[in-house]
Amino acid sequence: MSPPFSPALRETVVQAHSQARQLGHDRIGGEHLLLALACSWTPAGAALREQGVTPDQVRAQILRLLPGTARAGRDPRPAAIDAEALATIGIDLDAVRARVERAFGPGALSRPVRCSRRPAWRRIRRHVHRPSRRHPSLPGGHLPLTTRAKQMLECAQREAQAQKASTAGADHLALAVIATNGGGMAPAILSALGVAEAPLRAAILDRYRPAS
Amino acid sequence: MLTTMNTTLELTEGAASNDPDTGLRAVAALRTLTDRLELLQVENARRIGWSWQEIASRLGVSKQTVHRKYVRLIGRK
Repeated sequence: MSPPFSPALRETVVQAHSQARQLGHDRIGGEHLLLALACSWTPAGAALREQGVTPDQVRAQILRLLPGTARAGRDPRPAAIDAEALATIGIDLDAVRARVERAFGPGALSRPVRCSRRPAWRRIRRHVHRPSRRHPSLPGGHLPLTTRAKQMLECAQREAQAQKASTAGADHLALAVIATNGGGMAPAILSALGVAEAPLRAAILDRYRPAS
Repeated sequence: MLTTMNTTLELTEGAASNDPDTGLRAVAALRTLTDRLELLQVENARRIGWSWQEIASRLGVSKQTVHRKYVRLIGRK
């Protein structure tokens, strides 16, 4: 039986959700959990900031690692049509654009087409976050967690179990997020900030020791 | 005009050199272009009152396919 999530952990996930929103991302990943933890007033957040993992630093690293803010392949901005490639098969994009704009107005060809070739039911399966007991839905939230973020939540529960805690808290989540074995962006951000996992882990555990 | 033609010809020859990079990028660009043109045309057809069936028959697909693809983008009328 996995320990339930504490209110502080839930609040962190909610914050991660709004951070992902603000950045224009369509999923909540480990990087957003890390950012939310760095912003939080939990002891784990204080430990992170003390080690140099500040909200500003994390945000800057996310933007550096994910330029253009949106994740690849889900960019809400229209991608430029590769005029050079079209020219190789004898299509003059400028000529096409000129004619289309004459008929439909300026910028007509620059509109993104956000429909998918996949059947509607498949699209829904792919994008809708299904709430479950383990991964409860977020208030007002539609952004799903990435697989890795889900694994981090499970890992937080294992950390809590290992420490014989009754609930999985923000500190357990922090330990899960900074773990380098999980891969993903959170460890990449930490290594870019020059912060090693071991001292960070020790600092987080240290903050919680007197309380427990 | 002649120079444009020549450039295009040269590029076309480049495409004929079996370079997958150039060829595949051309296909992808063409697909994007087609998608955008299709959206414009479907939207326009709907605006002037064409039925999904009429649009579908011109595009050579089923009525359900166009409807499914565009109803959320254009909205039903």
